[in-house]
Amino acid sequence: MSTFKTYLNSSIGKKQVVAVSGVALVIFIILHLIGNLLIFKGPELFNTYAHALHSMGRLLQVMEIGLFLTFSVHIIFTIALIIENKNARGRAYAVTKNKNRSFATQTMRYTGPLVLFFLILHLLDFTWSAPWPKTSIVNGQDLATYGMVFNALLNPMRAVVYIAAVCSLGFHLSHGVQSVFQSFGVVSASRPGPIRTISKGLGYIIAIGFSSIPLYINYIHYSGALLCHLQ
Amino acid sequence: MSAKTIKLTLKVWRQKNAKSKGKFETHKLDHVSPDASFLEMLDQLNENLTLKNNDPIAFDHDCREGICGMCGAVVNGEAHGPEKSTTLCQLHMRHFKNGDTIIIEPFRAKGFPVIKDLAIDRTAFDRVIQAGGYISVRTGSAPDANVILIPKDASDSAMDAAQCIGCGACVAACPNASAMLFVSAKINHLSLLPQGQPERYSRAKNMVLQMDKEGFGNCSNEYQCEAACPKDISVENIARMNRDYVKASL
Repeated sequence: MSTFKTYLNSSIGKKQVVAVSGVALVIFIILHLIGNLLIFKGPELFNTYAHALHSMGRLLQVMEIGLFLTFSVHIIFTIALIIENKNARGRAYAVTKNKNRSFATQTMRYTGPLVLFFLILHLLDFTWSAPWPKTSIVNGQDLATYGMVFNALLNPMRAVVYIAAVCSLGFHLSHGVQSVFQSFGVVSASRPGPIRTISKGLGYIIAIGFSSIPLYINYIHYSGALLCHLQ
Repeated sequence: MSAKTIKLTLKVWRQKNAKSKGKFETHKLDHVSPDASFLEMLDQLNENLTLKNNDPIAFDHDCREGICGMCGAVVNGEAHGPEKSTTLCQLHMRHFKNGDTIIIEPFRAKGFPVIKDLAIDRTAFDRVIQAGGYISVRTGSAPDANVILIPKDASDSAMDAAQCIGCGACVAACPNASAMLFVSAKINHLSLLPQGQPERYSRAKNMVLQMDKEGFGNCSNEYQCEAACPKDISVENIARMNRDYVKASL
């Protein structure tokens, strides 16, 4: 077997692949959050941003394919690790006691699939949805992408699902980011310290940052502040 | 010696051999001295079983001083029981209350097949060590102690890693039955010293590949191994091993 194949098949190799693909996804999520937060600046700027993204054409397609492959690698290698880990235990313990195992750590294998499930819903909603002008109309005005996002997140069910999903993502990252450092041995994240703080902090920023969008949309709708944007 | 004794209900894993299914067996045990060690308590139970012509419970033990790494069982869900930095033989019955029910299971991992009851086969660890390489030729007398200078922090970290007694509690406590704390300790007690440099990377690679071959799981950075280790081996060793493994592979 070639050296690279041996590496990919090994326990440490697999988890480092999960770590690298995770880092790429985190970078995407941070950029996505920065872009989305433009919604606070009103429809004009947000639509300019959305338009600029779509006018990238081929480059955007390449980035989307890259993102899809990164997601696939992250998920496939994680599934391989989970199967191996389950087999490695064999018979389960009658009693288990977790020492210092954080909630985020224990729920990694649940928050991951939750985020994936949401991602599919999210793509169906905003990326693969058929152009339907009515969805972008707010107060009688066609607000394009801004209007589409506005109307979608005004729906309380969708807003709740959205917030639950980004909180799952935040939990996932609060363990995931520090794991990257440990898996590559850059710095051990075993003790409370800057790496753990950065990891948890990033988890909170992602969860709060994305959650602020549906909350803001509901706020401006019900408080009448939206009218200021539209004038 | 304290005169007061305690009564216990013990749910012990019984398994004839690696192939049999195994089940829990419940025994009542009276007159347990709080000063007895956990293994002495099991000895007391075994005496009772033998007197009744029953098969005694098989369990591993040797030095009973916490230094050999032979003993070990999962007690109420914790490898080596509830006391921190303590092997099962050094766990005393004063940490249990009168009337307690104690569930005793073997270290469970595919890499550690059960031989009988609580006794497990840990030769997988020996094969990992062998994969690291060994010297079979005479290399002369021991050199003078100060010929090779070793920085204090390097020697401290190497000696901390060398504390590992290979008991397997890390595997038992890991949610994935990963052996990475053990393997990393064995890799690092050499890789941190000047004498360990010549084969540092090939050793790391070979030991990791053997660990995988033995069927141990993968680390998911949950640090349960470190919490269960009777010798306080740090998971910083796993970080170092990961680093050396990348260098060895790419």
